[in-house]
Amino acid sequence: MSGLALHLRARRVPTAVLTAAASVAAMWALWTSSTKAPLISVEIAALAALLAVAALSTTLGAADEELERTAAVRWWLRRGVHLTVALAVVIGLLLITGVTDARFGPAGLVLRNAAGLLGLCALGATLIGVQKAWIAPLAWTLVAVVLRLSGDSDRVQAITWLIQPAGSRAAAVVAVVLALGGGVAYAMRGCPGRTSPDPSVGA
Amino acid sequence: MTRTLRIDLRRSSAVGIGLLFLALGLVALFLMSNGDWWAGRWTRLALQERSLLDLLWPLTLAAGAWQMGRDRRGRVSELFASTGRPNWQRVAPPAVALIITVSAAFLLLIVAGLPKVLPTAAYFNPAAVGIAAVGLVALVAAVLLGMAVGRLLPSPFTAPALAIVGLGVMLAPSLNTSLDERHGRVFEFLSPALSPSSSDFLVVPWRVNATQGIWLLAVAVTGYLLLASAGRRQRIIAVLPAVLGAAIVIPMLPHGQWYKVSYVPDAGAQALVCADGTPRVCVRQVHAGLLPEVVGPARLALQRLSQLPDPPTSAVELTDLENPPGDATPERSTVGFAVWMDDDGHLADPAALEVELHDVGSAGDCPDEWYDPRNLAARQAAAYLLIGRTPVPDGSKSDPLIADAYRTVSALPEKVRLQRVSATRTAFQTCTGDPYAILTVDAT
Repeated sequence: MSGLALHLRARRVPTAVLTAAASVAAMWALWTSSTKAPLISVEIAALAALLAVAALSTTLGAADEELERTAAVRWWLRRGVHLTVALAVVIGLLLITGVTDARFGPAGLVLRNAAGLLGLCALGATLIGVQKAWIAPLAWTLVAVVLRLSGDSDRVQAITWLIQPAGSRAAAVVAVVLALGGGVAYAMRGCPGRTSPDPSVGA
Repeated sequence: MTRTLRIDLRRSSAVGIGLLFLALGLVALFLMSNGDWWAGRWTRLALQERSLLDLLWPLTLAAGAWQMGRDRRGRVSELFASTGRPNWQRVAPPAVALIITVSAAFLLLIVAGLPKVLPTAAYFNPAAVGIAAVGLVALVAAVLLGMAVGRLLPSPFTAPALAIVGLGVMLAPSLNTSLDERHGRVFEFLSPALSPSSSDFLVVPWRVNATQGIWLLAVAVTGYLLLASAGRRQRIIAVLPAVLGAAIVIPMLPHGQWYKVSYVPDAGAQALVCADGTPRVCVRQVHAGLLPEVVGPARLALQRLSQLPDPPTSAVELTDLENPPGDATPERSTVGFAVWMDDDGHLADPAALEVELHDVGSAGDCPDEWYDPRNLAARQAAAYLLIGRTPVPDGSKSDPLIADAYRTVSALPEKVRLQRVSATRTAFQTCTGDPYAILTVDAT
């Protein structure tokens, strides 16, 4: 088996991609079953992006980080490429709905949400481990979707960046900061080693 | 049990989840909502805590599912399965630990609201306790249901996906318009969500709180039985409490549209509280804390209005409900006004109240087209003329008209000024003529 296939299998990528595709399809079906409007609302789009990112977040860490690190390869490059491809997958899954009657869009908004959420996820994976990486994106998405904030000050736009229109500058800044910060931190550091006792390895 | 519970509280993620909830709840309570929705009012505080569940309930489901995955993550599932202890005993400590921390976070969020309510709250309806209690039961049910789902669907993706499903359960009632009245009513009842009320004079009745509490308790029992179940037969039995609960409470639901049966007028909140002395100045019980702030401006307004013929002799707060008890329609001898509470439970916008107290156009019962910008400008300008203060623009379409009228009429001698205001008042009381022209144009 080639190195690429081994990498994909070790990170359980096929399951994760299928789960991401299924959840995007579910959100798409939810929209098309309830309304005829062609552009899916920003709230549903944010939830779809979150689910796809949460599904792919499981591929950010290895089964045994400590063991993997002993391999003499440029891990920062692999992690960077892995994250970039994951971003492309999320964007692709969302934008492919463009061929149907109801689509996620516009492209700028999809790119912003996917990049920001994946960056936040990567940051979580770096700081608290891959198993809890979905917590911060989920909490932030719920805050943005549930709390109906009034006003369009920069502060409000930044807090609810996920549901702002594509032209919002504050929202774009938040997404870029999250994407770059999370992406760079993850590429450089990777996930922390396992902290819970693992009987199969020892302590 | 106690010993393992203590270990769970110390070592598991239960405390971390509780702290996360507390932080998110505080953000939602103070940074993102306006305190003027609930400051100084017990019922509104309870309703505000319930609306926090839109955020916390889906997260609680996710937390339960996440907590249940710890054996799998620690790779000890097989090891634990080999022990002799029955499953229902083994799942109890982590479940109780999570229930304790999540409930504590919810109760602390109520405590966090007290500094804004206690100092100025004048009315307490015990139903507020019921409203908050249903929220607490909903959280307990979410912990157990989340853990059960986490056990039945062991996957790292279960927790975030369950949160989104929970969000759908919370938001669907308010978004859903396609269901007919009967089904929509049942759906809104089964969801722990509570659409926010529009008035300080409404309350969720005991019957609704009790039935919703019973239903959520049944869901919690089902969650625990599912969590402890082994084998298909036990799982089928586990679903029974929720099914039975629904079967018992759905026929007990009050009939009618949900927003009308889930919020009923609160007679106690609407009771009149009047200040000592004359002239009579009254507010509603729920706003009784504002009475000292209202009495002065109200008596001053009555004194100024007494310059007009047939003047009003008392000032009484109106309610925004259709049939308030006591004084049904505003009478000519009474000045009606509305008060709003600000972020600290004190009188919001005293300047607007002052103008409203001098309103000469409120007593009549004129057709809807009388509420156009021109007539509203006449009312406002007349009020400012009585007060003797230059109008403050409030960004409405009437602003230039008000300013014009005030400039024209305030230049006239006092006697003529009062005659004009008085004639305008008569026009509104009888719904005849053009009040703005009567106020501004020299008729002689």
